[in-house]
Amino acid sequence: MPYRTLAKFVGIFAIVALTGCGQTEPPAFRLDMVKVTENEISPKHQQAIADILGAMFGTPDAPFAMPETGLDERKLKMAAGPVWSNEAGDKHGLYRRHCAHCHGISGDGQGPTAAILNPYPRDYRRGLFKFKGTFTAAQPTDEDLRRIILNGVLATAMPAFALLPPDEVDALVEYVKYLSMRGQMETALENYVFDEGLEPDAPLDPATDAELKDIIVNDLLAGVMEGWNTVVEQVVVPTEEGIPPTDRSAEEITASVNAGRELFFGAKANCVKCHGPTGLGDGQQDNYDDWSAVTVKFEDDTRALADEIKGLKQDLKKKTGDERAAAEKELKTKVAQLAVRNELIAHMLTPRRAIPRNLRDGTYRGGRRDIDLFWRVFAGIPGMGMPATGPSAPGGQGTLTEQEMWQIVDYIQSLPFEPISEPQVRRVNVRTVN
Amino acid sequence: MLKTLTSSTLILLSLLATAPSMAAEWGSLKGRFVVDGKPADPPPLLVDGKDPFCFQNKPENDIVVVGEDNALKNVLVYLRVPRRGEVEIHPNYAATLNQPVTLDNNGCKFVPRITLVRVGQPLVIKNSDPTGHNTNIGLFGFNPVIPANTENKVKATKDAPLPMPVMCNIHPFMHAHVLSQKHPYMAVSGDDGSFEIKDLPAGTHEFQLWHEAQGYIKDLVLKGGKANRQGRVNLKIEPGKTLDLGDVKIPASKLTVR
Repeated sequence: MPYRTLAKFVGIFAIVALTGCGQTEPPAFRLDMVKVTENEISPKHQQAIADILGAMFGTPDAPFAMPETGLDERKLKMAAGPVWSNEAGDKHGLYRRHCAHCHGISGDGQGPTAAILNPYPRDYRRGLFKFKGTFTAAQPTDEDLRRIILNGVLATAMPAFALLPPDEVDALVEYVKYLSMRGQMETALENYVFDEGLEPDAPLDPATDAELKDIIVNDLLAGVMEGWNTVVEQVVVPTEEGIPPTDRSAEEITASVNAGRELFFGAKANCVKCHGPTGLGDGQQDNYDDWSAVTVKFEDDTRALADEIKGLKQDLKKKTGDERAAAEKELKTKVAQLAVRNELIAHMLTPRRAIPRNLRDGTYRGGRRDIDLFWRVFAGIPGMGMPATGPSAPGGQGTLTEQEMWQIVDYIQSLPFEPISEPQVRRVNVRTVN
Repeated sequence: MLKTLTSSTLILLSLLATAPSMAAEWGSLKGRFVVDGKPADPPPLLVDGKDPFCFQNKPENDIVVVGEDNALKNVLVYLRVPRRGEVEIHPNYAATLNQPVTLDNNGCKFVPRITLVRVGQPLVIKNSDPTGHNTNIGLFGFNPVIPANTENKVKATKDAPLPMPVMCNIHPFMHAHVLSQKHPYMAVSGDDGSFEIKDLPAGTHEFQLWHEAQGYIKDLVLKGGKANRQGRVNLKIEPGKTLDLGDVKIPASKLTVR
């Protein structure tokens, strides 16, 4: 009965989570149990996937980088493992020192403090990052990741690590990419097992199956790496002519702010739909972000399964003989599935809605430079539903011109200083921004 | 000189004429999906007054559409090519790769609900409404703003084994799916529940069955075989013939939407 074993497996996880590991047990990467459950991956295949990932990426104490990943193992070793330093003061275990308590050993964004934070720490395993200077679908550059580590994410629990020596920051950038690639590879393997329709006890061992090994390296890993390897072609570089000059006159700035306001409230850029008529972020607030959406779907599917079980129980009464035995077997399987799902839901982060940024308090999570705001307007915020006004891919068709995007950037920066309601009398001696 | 030209043209023409006959033989697949029983009405969409146009337009939840005679719309049937396998594509489909597929935002609904597209095929994301939308296609990583009465042209960049969700974040009640494959052998049932996939290479192929309310439709019994736990069924396409699955019954219980 695979599901019973699965339930035990999850049970052990729960016990470990509640009581803590013994001191001697080294930390291990955890599989994404939501994906495992959705894809109905048997305990045997769970072990096989963990083994394959172990061979490709090593362990949290001893990371390994296949040459295909292009990762620098020296940097990974500096970031991985337990926290210690030598007499010369070289620090090791940087990820566990600075990051793991929120982002988790596996980079799943489910470290011990995750549940009490808002927003939740980033789950790296999807290769999806919000604040970057590349096209919507592209991965972040090293520079994007470094900037977030150095500056932190304003108005969230993510602190700035600007005081770390540059080589330590580099090591962390490398390790975040490593956890991200490992997570994407795990998903690719879990999808592979589902897509191929492998029977629960079918073999899954690249050591004895040359074709499988070839598929893992040349199809699955190559698929993961394609995004990371092409980042340089995906950087959004604003055209020189479009960038507002630094020596603009007050009139020129005012004209640009006014044009930006027109766009913000107009039907073309439509910022107002989500950021609200006052810019307080109180427009459309019903979306879930992509990470929470996974949880919501899992919960919905679990409720559907509970309903299905109710129906099956009703039907069972009408059945006799062999038919009844078969129905009982099906029912038992589904009940076990439901138990596994409910156990998982009990430990999942509560889904949260994607609330558009309040543009009146002047805090911008992805950075407050003009170029940061330009990138947000150009490519949107992946995973959050914030759409792009620039082209979807290099050379594509955008909705706004770059000049219009810069006008919106100008307007956003003046918005906190704009009165919420139209003042009835404009006082003469007060210089308003517009 | 003229004679040589004519004869070389003739040779060229005859070469062209023989080219298609080198290809395999072809057959088709058709059928009609019907609901067995009466599915529960899908829950109404939560359309609030934040967008007056959408509010007045009152879009209906069209995740399950049952037509006359129990006809079930928007069931997907498509060829599943084995990993690293290839399927021969009939010359009739050569031109369709460059024909744009349109996904419209119309009446605060995606039209069509299910979009079929080939990898590399142009996809026109249109907005026929007087209100602004965005079209978030996670599979391609695209999420452009589509202002009122405009369109944006993108390209299908990759395929996925199952249809992937499309949404409008400005109007979270808007949902659709896009199926992107490397081949053209996909069909979605129409208003009358019928579907047809023409010019398939003859032979036994695996087909995937899918409906948005259910996902892959497992254990479905068809005329040519029974779907497995992933909603896939092996069907034999005979040369020069059309395999008619007749009425394929989908139990109403599989179409419950929450």
